[in-house]
Amino acid sequence: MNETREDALRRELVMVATPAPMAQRMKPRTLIAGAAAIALAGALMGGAVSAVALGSNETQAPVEITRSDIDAVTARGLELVGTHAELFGTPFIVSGRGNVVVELGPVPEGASSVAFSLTCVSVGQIAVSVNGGPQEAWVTCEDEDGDGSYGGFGTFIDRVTDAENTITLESSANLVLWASWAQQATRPAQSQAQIDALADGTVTAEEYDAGFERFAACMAGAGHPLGSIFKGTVIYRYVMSNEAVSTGTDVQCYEAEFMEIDSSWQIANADTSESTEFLRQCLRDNGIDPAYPAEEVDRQMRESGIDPRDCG
Amino acid sequence: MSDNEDWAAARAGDGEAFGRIYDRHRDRVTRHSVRLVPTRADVDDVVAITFLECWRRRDSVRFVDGSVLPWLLVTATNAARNLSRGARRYRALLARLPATDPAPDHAERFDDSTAVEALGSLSLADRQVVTLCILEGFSESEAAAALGVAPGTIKSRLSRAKRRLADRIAPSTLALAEENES
Repeated sequence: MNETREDALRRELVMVATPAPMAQRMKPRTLIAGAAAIALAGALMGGAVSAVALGSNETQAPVEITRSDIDAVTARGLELVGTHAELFGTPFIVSGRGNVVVELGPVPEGASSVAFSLTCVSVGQIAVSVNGGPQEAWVTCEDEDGDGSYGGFGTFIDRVTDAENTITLESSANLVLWASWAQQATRPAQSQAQIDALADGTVTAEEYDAGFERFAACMAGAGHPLGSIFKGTVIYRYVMSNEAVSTGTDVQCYEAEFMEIDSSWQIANADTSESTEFLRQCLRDNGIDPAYPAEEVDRQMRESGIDPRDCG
Repeated sequence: MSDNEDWAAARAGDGEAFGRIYDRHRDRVTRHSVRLVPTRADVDDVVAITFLECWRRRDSVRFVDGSVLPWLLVTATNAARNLSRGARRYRALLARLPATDPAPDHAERFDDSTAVEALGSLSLADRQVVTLCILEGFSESEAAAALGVAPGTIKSRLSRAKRRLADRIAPSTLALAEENES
């Protein structure tokens, strides 16, 4: 008799809550450095990240924003972009409330979409439309966690024209918008080997290792071999060059050969893994009391500026 | 065993204890999710994401009188609102769950399409309060504990939500809802 969905979900939940004896590899921290490199490149191209409020409608109301609001919306935009797109020119940064119109002009040569991120600076609702078309997004700004942040939204807008392009926001919230012309990278297809490894719904240690090896071979084949590979019995560590990140090679190889295998493995092993415990010990060594959840440990590592390659 | 006891056991490494929490609240979370999303497949995803989020965010789970149910209902409402994001986070796991038997389960369906539509028109904060206080029958103080806000906040949100719902729900339905609340 086939297992029902309810039984299968129950089995997964029991497994998730049961400590796993095996651990996942450490995530490559150089990806963070890669995002920072893009931020610098963007700033250098235009000389500075400039604030350009182009709303022409008289119902637009000026709002006060802070440097940290600009930093937050920029960070959200760059997180969206990651290594998935190339940016063109200087990003637009616009603040406002009411009817906010952002005139982006014609598409620059080589660009095909707009990377778009907005951050709410107060409660309210924001409707987004592009080139006078139907509503693209509807954002509710709320301080759900009571931490003084009101949320936001980011996406790529592909519906652009060769002539003038306009983003229109109808907002009852104060907002800051970041937008940049972009060319999105082609998403790689999964290799047959990765599909086969996932076919039975379980990733074994052998399949995990084989996936990692294919990922490493792909990187080497593209001229950006992984460095300092350490394959312990439970921890895989490696580093990659900034060039591997800035050229998008890491994304191409990772998604084709390893991403779904890695994701599946990590979901099943996140908090109890020895790699997370490795990071916890690293935090202790630096005088920081580590948290339990893996993502909280990651946050502590980021905020304390500790490079995992210096651990252990 | 209570949620509290099972939760403590699960946190100590007993995965089966988390399974018992799922057994206990699966049907209520499913019934609530039916109000939130249009298709059975979406309901299935909301239920799965709710329990997976329960474990992922286990340091911030709130218990009300020893029960995790109010927190699960709040989380299901959030999961329904951000279904695509949640589905992305757990994509691999959701993909390997079998589909639900297509035979309709009438026990989980009820005719409250007007209320469902009206609920969808509310802000998330108001939706959470209506879910807990009107649809699920928790007291204002229990809802306050589940949402981590002051009871006065619940009272004002509830009042605001009722005013908004009154424009959309027939008087007889709202009267029933208020009766359920008291």
